[in-house]
Amino acid sequence: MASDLSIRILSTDEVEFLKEKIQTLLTTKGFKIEHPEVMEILKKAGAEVSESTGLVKLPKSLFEEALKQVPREFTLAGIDPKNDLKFPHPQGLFHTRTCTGGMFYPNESENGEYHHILIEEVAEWTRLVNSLENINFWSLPSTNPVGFPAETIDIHTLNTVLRNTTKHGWVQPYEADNIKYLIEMAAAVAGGKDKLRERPIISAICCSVPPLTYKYMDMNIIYECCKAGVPLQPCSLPAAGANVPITPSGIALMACAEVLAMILMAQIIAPGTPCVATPLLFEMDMLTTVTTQASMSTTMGRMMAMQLFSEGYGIPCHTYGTGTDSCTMDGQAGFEQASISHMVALAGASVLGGAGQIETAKAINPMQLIIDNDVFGLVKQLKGGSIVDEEAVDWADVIALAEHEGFVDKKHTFKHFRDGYRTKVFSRDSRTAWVGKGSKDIAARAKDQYQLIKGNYQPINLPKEVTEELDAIVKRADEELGKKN
Amino acid sequence: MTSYADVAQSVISGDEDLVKEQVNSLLAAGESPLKIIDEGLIAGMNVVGVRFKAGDMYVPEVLMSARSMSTGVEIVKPLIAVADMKVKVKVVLGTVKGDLHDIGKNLVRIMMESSGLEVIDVGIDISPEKFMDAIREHNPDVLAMSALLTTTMANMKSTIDVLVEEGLRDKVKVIVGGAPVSQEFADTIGADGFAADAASASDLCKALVAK
Repeated sequence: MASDLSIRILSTDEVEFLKEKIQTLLTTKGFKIEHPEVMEILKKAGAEVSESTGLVKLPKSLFEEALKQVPREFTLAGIDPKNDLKFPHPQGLFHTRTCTGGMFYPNESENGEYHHILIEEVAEWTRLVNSLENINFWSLPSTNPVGFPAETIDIHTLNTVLRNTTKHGWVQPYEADNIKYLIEMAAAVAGGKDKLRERPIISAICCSVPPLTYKYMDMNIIYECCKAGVPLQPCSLPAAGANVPITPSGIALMACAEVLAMILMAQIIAPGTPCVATPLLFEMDMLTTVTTQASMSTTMGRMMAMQLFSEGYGIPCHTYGTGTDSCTMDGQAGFEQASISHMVALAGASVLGGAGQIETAKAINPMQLIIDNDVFGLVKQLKGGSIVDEEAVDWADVIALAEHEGFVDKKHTFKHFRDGYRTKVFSRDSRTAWVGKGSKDIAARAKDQYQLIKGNYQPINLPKEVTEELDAIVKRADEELGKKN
Repeated sequence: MTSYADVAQSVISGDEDLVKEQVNSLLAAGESPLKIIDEGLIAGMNVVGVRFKAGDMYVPEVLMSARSMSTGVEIVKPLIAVADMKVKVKVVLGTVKGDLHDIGKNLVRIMMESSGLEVIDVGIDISPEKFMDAIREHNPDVLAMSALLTTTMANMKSTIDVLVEEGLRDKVKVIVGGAPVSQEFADTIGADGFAADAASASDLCKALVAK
């Protein structure tokens, strides 16, 4: 058995087919951008750039040269080095991250209702993220701007997150100018701009607008991050059948082309900028017109995209590795999360994203995050594979077996019984024991686990001068960006 | 001999070429342009609407039907006096500032037009000021705003705030929609209604205007 288990959804010929089509799209059809400085840089590098329309075509030689510059190995730093994320994963596994942009949070009363997440709940959520061993990096929820301007939601949210985490995170700016403040805040925590470049404790999301368009804000994120040495996680979020072709291969082609265009632009601006290719696929439901994320065809498209980047380009890649279209933590959610996590991990994803999300990433739920923590632990075990040799099959004991002999007291059992991932909230109890513990379902057990984590949480204490610097940046951002001041 | 029912059936089937042929045939036979619209084209689209709501037809099929109906309408429209064209509800529709997504908005437009609403589609990335200009110019019954992103949906509130500041809030009903938008959000920002999908937006507009 492979020690790094994998699935190939594409044949070698199909990988090459998609690569050829992507190159044709970016070199002959081109893509549209809005950003005078980047247009100038691309032009100087030899790209064909129309200043009037923003259309960019990369000559084949520039395409190939930029592709060579993409780093295949790098580290996304944790605030605490013990949480550093190395790419590729040293054990051939994957990293994980939480839902980004989710805005609804369950009510305290647990009546099934939810509300727009408040800043104090972002702190609570972040502390939970920081406590879970299989959740490797955070992202920013879409916080309700109560008591601060809507224009600085991302800045206030990052301010809260940075005070409650020791892990790496990715940031999603809400306006073109905000990225500078977010970088400044990360630098304050990292110990200065040079330290941030050396140990990037944040990476940034930049997004396309399918098909093949990049608005000013996202181009500015690429530009500013390249200047500051902050890694990028370029995202494409197309909806199959809406703004890209409906088939799995059609959406994979378009999403990967859009992501690769951003990666190549970053290499032209600042060669060697670390990038994690992040095609996050969706599908429009043709009955309701709503955007969905968990149809099997979407999973297949993600598998293609992951294989294409990992095998076809050797570039670390990231997509939704959990999540559901269900509005609640029910059986549908369980199946969809299991299906997506297994398939995407085995297809070669470097990062499985979306932990804690339900309802197509619109809502986040602490109990779901705790369940996902276990799901990722289980999938990591599977991805790690298993050894087949004489020691693994305990050949020595098997060949020496006496009549009616058991294995529970064998040294081999003692050595290996902890090999697998031991879940925290899945039930392995007998019915009698389960009833004795209150007949709780997984959500109720996750809630118990949450109370335990909350009770044992050790607060993060940033140095006073760092918190003061963060406060000063936030205050300045509110004054400079917030209309309400 | 082509009948109105034939035209309706061709609209339901989404057969644009056949609709064109049948409408021309009816006109050549001296049939009333208004009756072709009401009893043929819109009658067919009404069936499509019912089947869509029942889950018996899917969006791509509805779009083909809508396209067929539009083709038929374009043929007979020049033959109808402006006064005879009945428009009950006028809507200004756009995607809010910072948001370049137009698929959902376009679906809403098509569904609304298919239901007989007049839609002024002002496009994507529309600032509150541009929405105000459109409202002043077209005097609509409804302002419909779309957003796909949690990062841009706050601009729906900014637009409503400007509507209030400009003294236009009482002149127009406001509806909102898009992937991250909910009834709760609509209530929070002071919108009059929330449409969960493209199909329900038309009914929502009609219901709000009828109040």
